[in-house]
Amino acid sequence: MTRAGLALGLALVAAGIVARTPGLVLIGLLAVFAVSVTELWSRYGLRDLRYLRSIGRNRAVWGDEVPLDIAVWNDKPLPLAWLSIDDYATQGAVVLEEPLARSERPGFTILRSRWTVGWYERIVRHLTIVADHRGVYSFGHVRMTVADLFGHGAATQEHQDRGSYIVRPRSLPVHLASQQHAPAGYLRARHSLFEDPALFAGVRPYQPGDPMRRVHWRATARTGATVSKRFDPSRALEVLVALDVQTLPGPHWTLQFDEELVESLMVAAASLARAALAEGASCGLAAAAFSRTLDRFAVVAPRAGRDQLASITDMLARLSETPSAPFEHLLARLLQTVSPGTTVLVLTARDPEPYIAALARLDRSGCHVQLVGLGPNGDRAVARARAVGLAATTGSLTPDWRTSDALVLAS
Amino acid sequence: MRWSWRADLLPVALDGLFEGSLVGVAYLAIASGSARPSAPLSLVEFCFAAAAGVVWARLRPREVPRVLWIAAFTLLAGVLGWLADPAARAALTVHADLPGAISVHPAGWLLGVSVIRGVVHEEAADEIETSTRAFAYAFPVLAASWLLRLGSGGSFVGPALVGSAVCVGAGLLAIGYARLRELELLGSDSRGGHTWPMLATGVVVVVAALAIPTALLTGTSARDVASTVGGPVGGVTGALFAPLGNLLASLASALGQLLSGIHLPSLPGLGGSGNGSGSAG
Repeated sequence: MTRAGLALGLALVAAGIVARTPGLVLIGLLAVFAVSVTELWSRYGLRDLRYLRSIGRNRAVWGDEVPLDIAVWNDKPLPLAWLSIDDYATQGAVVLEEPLARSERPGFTILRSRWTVGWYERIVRHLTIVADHRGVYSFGHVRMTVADLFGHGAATQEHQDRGSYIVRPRSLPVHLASQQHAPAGYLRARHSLFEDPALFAGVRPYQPGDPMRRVHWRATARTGATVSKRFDPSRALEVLVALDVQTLPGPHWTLQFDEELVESLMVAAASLARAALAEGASCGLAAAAFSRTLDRFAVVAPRAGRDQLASITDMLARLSETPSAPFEHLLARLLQTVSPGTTVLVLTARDPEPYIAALARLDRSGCHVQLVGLGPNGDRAVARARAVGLAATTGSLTPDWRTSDALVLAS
Repeated sequence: MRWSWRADLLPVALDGLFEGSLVGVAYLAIASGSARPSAPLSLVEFCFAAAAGVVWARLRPREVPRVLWIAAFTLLAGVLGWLADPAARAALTVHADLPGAISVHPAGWLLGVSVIRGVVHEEAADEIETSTRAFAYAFPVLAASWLLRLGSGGSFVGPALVGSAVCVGAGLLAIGYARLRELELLGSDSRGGHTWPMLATGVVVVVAALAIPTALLTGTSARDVASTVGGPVGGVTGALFAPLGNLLASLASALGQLLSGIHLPSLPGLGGSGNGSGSAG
């Protein structure tokens, strides 16, 4: 109707002027007005229209709430009676105030906002993201639609506005049923090439070759025999949490998994790493899972320090629920990369039969391999490990990984 | 769910104004060309007829066939419009000349067309499509009406000017209102219902800004416009009560004859002014 209507309107105006009939001029002007207003919003609605999204923080732990502000700014004199903004979010994202709609794009849901915006008006909506699924979530694709008020027309514009946040798994305190169940990395080492001078452990008789500064002069004077200071071995141990993400028996490529067990493994891995780091050890992570990179193995090199737990939990957040490769391939790689003396905590929720030989080989190479069995198959995993002479404990998150207060290690 | 006219009064009123003024302007173009100084019907009757057509169509009982239901009301409205002219009534009742009576005020049948135009808006869910389609041909109809009366002044220009402005304004508002309702169903934050008043104000202001200077150019005074709107209301009221008055007068007369000799005074207040005229004059 646009062009024809416009032509008709102008023709009527011209005819009215020629015929000196103001009524025709009025009809023509009204026609021009009606045609103009019909597509006013389609043509100009999206001009000087801005959409801003602000995620409160880009890291969250499972169960956290993250502020999400979305704002629209109509910086022009044309008010918008109907503005629809579809913000595509990764599937699984949860916004407390607004259920996300299904999307035509696989793997995405839509945060849909409908607005009425006046001229030069800015509106902000305060929403809350609920971090109730581990993973990396991103916003990116934004579709803005402005509808005509006097017709069925609508103008649509799409653009990219990237934003993301990571939901890390919980990390819980590790409780030991008894000290004998402590993973090797958590106990004071009995043998080491190095001693820690901060860990004074008593005196012993002087031995030829002891440096003079090692002699405990006051004890020597008191006892009348020369004695030297004794120190505990250095505790600067390396702990590597090797995570077996496969939860169901069979080949690794079946893409089937037990979600509860996977999440339990993630929480247990984070908890073990947290405890090791709290003890002053260097801790790392290795898993045969996808981590949003091309690499088949996800590895965080052992390191001590405050930031290391964040690095490990970030990696855990990124890990896929299904394995990217057989776990024994990861163990074979560790055999080449992990330095002797490193404590390798193998965390699994299945029977380790397919890779038990690789574990034994790793143990023989000088690493302290210890298996932590989790879930209903935990006991079987522990028994299998012990059968080949490996240290093993069961881990449990009671009642489940969502509500448990601690990771309990027991025989 | 049964349609509620109370809930949908505004769209019905807008449809009535839009369709009624459109048919009304066409009627004025045809009827005011006759020898009479002014047309017997005015825009108001047509707007009422169109609105009544909307309501009538929406209130149809399911068991009554649609065609029958609508045709009956359309015919009634057409007859009323035709007989709104005293000359047509006189030709029919005094001279019993049906063809002659029809030829006296044939444009009055457009009142039935106005009803049909209202019936077109039967489905509230299709209001946008219906109004948009009607709006598309409103301009050619209005233009044709103006061209038909090209060069003639007097009684046509003022009412037609008002009718044209009302038609376009009401049409835009009808479409806009329906669109807003549709968008609200999609989930619009209507911001406390401010959108509709702003939209209505904007349309009325623009239409008035175009119509008022044109009215000044044509020399149409406010009194002409007021008579266009206010005059027919009395006529409509009279037309509504005239049959009742005539009936009462006939009953009284018959009763008087029955009582042989008792002479009842005539009822001028009821029967005298019921000619349905006096609209634009």
